[in-house]
Amino acid sequence: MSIHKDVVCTFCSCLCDDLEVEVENNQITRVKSACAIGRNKLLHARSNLARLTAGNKTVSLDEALDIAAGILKQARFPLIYGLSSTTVEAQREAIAIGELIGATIDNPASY
Amino acid sequence: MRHFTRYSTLAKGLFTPRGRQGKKIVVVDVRLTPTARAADYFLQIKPGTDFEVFNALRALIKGLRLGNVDPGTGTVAGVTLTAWQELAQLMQSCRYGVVFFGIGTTMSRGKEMNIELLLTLIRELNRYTRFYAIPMRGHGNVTGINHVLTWQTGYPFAVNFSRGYPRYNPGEFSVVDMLGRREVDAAFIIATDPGAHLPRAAVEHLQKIPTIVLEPHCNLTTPWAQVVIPVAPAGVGAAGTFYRMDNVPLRVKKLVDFPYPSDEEVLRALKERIANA
Amino acid sequence: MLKIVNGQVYDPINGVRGAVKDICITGGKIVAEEGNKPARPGCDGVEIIDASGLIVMPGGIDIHSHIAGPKVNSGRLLCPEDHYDYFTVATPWQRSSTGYTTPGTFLTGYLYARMGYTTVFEAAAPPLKARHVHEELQDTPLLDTGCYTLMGNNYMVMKVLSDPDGSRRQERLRELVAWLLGSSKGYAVKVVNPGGVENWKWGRDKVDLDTPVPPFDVTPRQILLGLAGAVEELRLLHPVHLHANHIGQPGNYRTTLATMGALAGRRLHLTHLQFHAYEATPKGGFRSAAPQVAGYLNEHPEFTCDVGQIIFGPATTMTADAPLQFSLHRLTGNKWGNCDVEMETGSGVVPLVYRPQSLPNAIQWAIGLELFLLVTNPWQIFLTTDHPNGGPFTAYPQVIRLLMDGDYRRAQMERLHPKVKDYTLLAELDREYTLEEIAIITRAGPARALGLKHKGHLGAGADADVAIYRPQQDKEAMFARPVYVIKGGKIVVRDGQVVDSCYGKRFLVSPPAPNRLPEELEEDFAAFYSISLSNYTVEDAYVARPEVIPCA
Repeated sequence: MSIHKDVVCTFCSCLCDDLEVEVENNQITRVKSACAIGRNKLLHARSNLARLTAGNKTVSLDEALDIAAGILKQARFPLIYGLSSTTVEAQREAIAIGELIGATIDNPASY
Repeated sequence: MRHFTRYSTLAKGLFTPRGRQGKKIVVVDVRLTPTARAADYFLQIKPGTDFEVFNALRALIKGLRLGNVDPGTGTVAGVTLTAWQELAQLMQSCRYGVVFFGIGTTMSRGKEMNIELLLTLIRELNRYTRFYAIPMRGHGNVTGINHVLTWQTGYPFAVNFSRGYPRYNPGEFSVVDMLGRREVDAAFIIATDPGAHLPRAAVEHLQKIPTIVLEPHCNLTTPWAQVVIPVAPAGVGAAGTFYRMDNVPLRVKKLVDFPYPSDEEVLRALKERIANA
Repeated sequence: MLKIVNGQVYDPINGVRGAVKDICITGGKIVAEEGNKPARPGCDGVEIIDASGLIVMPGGIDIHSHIAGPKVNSGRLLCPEDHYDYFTVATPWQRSSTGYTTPGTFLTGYLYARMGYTTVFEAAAPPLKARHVHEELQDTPLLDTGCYTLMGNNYMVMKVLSDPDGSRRQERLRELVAWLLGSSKGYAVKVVNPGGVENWKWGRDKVDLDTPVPPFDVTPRQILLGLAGAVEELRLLHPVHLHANHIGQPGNYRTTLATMGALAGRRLHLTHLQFHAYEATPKGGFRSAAPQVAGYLNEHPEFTCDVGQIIFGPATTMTADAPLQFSLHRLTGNKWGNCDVEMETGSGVVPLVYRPQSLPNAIQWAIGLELFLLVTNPWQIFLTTDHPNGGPFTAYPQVIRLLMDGDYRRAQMERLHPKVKDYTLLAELDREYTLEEIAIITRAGPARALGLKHKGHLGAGADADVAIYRPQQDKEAMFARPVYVIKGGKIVVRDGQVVDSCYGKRFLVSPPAPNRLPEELEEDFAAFYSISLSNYTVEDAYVARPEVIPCA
């Protein structure tokens, strides 16, 4: 078992950074100091995971990336939207893609 | 959820050692919320009157009379003038005031004009005392995407690259408007659930076009998206930077392994695939 | 290997004044020439740049500029109108970006490099948001960078200074300064309006050097002397980098002189000195106090300064001096935003336009140039516009022309408000800078003041940062468009165009002190900061290419 201290909760923009999280066998088993939402999100972080699919078929990551790249390259007016619950490091890459394909980039701050 | 205890009403500071005591909390809202129950004053206004409210407060702080409101019995936005006068007095005479505002103000009638007026009010209050306004941001790192877009492109959202350089035009390049006009022919959704948040017309258009989703969990967008690429959630399965709603950057940690790569890794791989194709 | 042959070299640190000399580069460093063996192109993998008839200088170094971090980004956000007409289009080696007075990070790197600058220091990082500063510096290409950490209105600093026990006070302060620098990954200690920002937060008036500032009743003098002492004890390479009290106010040169007097005999860098050299007139206006201030500097070689020259046209003022920003907003009626950084500092942003026909602006412009011309030792004065406060850094070539070309300077004076001659003596100054002096105020001098021994010169062992210019009568055109710019041994600019994109290093220091918050302050931190202590320090992940400069 390992205990992580001063964990930052990422589920809302309060970013409370004083959580204590216990991890056992790669499972989060206990969350201290978080609010009810944050605790539930962390405890259930590994359930209800999305599946890798393309056109409702299960595919490999490689295939999915090929299909996604094809869609984005072919599009004449693509939109990249969201980016509100991911890291700045990922956001940078998304902007670089937007520049490559001439996309519009937007996030939930616009409405 | 812990805003009250960590940052605002209950938090103790060097100059507010008694926490909740010694602070005045005023809630202005269209309905009685749990927040409003915890306040010293609750002013229940009619929906869609934000613009009117901010203007009335500006006038009262400037000592102007509201011409069409009776000084004794009049109301503004459904609340008595006396109550607004007390609030104006309180705002002007406090040592340090903060207005926290949320989507009720930004998304109701008046929209960005409400905010412009609110910020004007705050600016004018600074002639008398210290006053700040802080937007209550919902999603974990919407502040971060605003920051990184701004330092890279100059603009916080609604940025278009079709000419090879960044152009900014809310209304033209903002998501709800673009989807509403059915201009977009492919969408790449990252770490957000438009199926849950966007207006129906916008979602209906997304359902008609190729939509790619990067998302850790099943949500209201994944069932109909053409491509779903699951990722490790930031702050649980991937480390990186998040910006708090008051612009303080923090490093979020990786706590457990996921069977999926991070957003960052997937996006970098995709970028290289597009660049080299 | 890269060899620059037959160029006329200006390398003041090594005493080279326009001699024709070859420069050899290997592995990103300048190396000694091997005998007199003539290098042949295409031979032994040697790439030759024929610099016949060209001027060769070390890469430029900006000692004070606001290019990255929270207030810069607030400026970008506040003024989209600044960006619409100024942009760069994406190419295979260049990212797209926008902005004139507040360019985006990519464009900032390209614009500096296109002038021959290769090293820039961000002048104000609040420790709590230092991560943001480093994130932007990570996205600033073609430049080596560093940042200065704000400490002049920090609660913990002021609390430690209020300790009556002198030796404990100085020891704690030393530990605190080392920890703040380490946590924020800063290079030097920045002090902005010491005590004055905090005093204003309490709704009080301006501070003098001996005004007690709440809540700890320490004075600006105590803050300044305390921090200067800590910097000396920690043997930091750059002294206290000071934005003095009373910026922009008529009569402030007395404060500036008193501040220098308080530190006479010790090292100090006074930043954007132009804004601190105003003598009051009886009617409440101001006249130039450049002669008094320059005179003092001329007698005190231990001090250095940068000018903060104003440039006519748009600027975006941004500073940790929150009261200044509020008063600029009140003065101009322009848009404005201020921010408090918890226990550490204030800050604010106000866009404005400097106009030659405005008498105050014309006087400010003249005072900046007077300082350049009246400070006799060029090793004490450096070229800055306090970007973007006095105007954008892209105007440096214009300032160089103003310094080198007396006729041009006098012609420009004709554009000014006619009364400017009553308040300044610029019209009487005939000095013209030489190329060597320009090389000092833009490269060699800043490198020496920053303690960077491998920067600002072209001797063996120096970083291979080189700018090659084509001599022209019009010095602005000459310095605006180098023929070649070499960064770390790579050609990054050719004929004024960016041809390569690489990212530079970040300069850090490692002062001889434990890198931890003094124990007595941990309780305060836990009680009054909104984040946990363990999440405060900027992680190594935010500095991809660190270079730790050993302390003196």
